[in-house]
Amino acid sequence: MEVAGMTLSCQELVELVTEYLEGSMEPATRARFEQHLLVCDGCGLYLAQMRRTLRATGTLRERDVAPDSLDVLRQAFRSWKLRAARG
Amino acid sequence: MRAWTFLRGDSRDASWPRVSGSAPGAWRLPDEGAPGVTVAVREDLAWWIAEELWEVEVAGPRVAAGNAVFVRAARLVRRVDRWGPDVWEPFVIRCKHVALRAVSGSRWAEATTDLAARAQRVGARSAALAGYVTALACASSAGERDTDGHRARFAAERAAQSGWIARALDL
Repeated sequence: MEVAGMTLSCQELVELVTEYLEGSMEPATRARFEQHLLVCDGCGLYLAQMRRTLRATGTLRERDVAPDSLDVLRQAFRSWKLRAARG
Repeated sequence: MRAWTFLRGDSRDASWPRVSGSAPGAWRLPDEGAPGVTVAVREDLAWWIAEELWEVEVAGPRVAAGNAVFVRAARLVRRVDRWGPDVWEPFVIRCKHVALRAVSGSRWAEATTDLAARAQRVGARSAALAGYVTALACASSAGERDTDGHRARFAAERAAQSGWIARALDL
């Protein structure tokens, strides 16, 4: 929901960061997002980390990962899925 | 339309081509996925405070939303040299007085006094924080967060701050 005349909270910003980076955010929300960054170093850092992560993972191919690490990752994902399925 | 933008004076400003001598900078186009280049009008200056203030020339359609204006393209024309410590300091003092008056006797008084004192010690960043905290202090005196009264008071104080800045800089 759009709230005119106020900035976002940190929690709201974190929830919206994907929308911001994908460019799918409403203009008014985008303005509030950018205004929050002006007064919150923590969220600025968080956004920078997200950008770096996206850049790094965006260029990572399966064959770039060592086989041992790939097995560990696959096992971890399977565990998460199982835990999620069990609720 | 007269418009301005605040820059931070660091690498985050890289997307704004700088002026060369007396010639304006090259046109800046929107970031990927953005509805336009974000600029500020006189009434919204306080929402965007940062280290450098620049007058910009804008072009193309514009969308006003959420205390911002998004334009198809914008370029830096000239820096507002007076935006600096000589304006930041009285702005912070003005905010401090408004904030303390707003929260006097409330549970916010101590925290606001502490923030106001800290804000007075450094530069534009403190002015940005002082403006934000003051608007929040005023809003807190008008009701709980996310109520109409709270939002209206927050926006009214931001408008008052923007007016103060514009008068101080003859914008």
